[in-house]
Amino acid sequence: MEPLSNELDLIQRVKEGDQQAFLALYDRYAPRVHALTLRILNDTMLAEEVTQDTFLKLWNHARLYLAERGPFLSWLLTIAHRTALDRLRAEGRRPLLSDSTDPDSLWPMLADTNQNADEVRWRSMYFAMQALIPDQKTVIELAYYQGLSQSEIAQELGWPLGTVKTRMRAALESLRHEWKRDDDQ
Amino acid sequence: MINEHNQLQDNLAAYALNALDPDDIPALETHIKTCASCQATLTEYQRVSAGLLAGLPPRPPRPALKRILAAQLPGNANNVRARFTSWSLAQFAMAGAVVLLLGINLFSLFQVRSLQDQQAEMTRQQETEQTALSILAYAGTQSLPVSGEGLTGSLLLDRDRNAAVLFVWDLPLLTPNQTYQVWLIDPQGKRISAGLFNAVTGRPITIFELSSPKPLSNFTSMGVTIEPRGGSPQPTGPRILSVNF
Repeated sequence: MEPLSNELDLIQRVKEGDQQAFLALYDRYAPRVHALTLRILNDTMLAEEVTQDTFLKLWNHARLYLAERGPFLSWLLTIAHRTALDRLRAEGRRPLLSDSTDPDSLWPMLADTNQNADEVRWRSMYFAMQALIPDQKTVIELAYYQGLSQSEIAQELGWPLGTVKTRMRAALESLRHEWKRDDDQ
Repeated sequence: MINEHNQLQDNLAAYALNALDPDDIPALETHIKTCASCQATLTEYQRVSAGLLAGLPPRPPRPALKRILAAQLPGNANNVRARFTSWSLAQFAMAGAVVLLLGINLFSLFQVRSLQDQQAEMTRQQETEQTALSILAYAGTQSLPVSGEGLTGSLLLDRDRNAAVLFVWDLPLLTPNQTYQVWLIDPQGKRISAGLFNAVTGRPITIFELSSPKPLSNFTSMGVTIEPRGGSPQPTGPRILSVNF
């Protein structure tokens, strides 16, 4: 991984229309974007189409990225997340979300600028997710990777809405605990 | 007041995951503006949700995708056409030679990338086979015979670890506009896609790792149909394989 200053330089060059810089960012982040779209869509061809759409949105809207508002990868993955969920909805399974490149709707979904996100921490989050008890993991997966609301999850699983809320909160608390444990180390 | 805070605090996790029901959002957003405790909790939940997005193991797309993406970036086609109008015959001849050379190079490049695609497919197959071997090592794994007209196979099923791998012998190659699609079927008969796959030229055994959005214990059977390329939301084509769990 190249230093952050190099990443900011690449982003700036993409904002200025530099295709080589754009393809360099693609080389660096396409595997992460594709992993996410594949996880959501569960279909290689659809996932590649959405990966492509995500990077085209980056090309067309790079000027909307503000480094002081959050990490670039989080911003890019949030676009990929919403684009993939929109694709699920376009298949007729879910209602459409708002514009997935609208900066005002994206920024509140990102963590703040003090986020100390790094490779090791993200990986520990993945393992913490795998270690959740099955009911909690199912709720998180349906919410985050399938775009279902709490009511939709309750309907899908045949659980009371209160149970869904309790399990979702318990799951996120468990993940938050894991996150804070990394802070303490 | 405290009760209201506790009730709204229960919604923070769903809000951070973008899963809060729309009717509940305005009250929570109003509350967050004046509640430092909820703001702090929400910030931490949002860090976690960002971590969930970035934490998946990287999965490189096919190398061809970069080429397709690059081709969609704004080119200079209009400008090139405008310049042609003022070119001489010699310049056109020179351009023709260049185009011919480029064509030859592109053909070579296409062949190289085709090989890269094949290599990526082999890597995916290898990962699937490793998963199958891992499942086989577990004591609780079931091996179920899969049947279909003129086809044989088996399904390795490990409900505890929510993993399943399908093996099919002598699966016919489909046309480029078709794909095999796996369906998991629950006790009510509802079908959920567990992924798409195709037979590989020259391989007598096709191996595919199912991908289920729900625990496999929710399902009672599995089927495979032939669907249009890209798959279908529900089965539309003929069922060629099935197995009851």
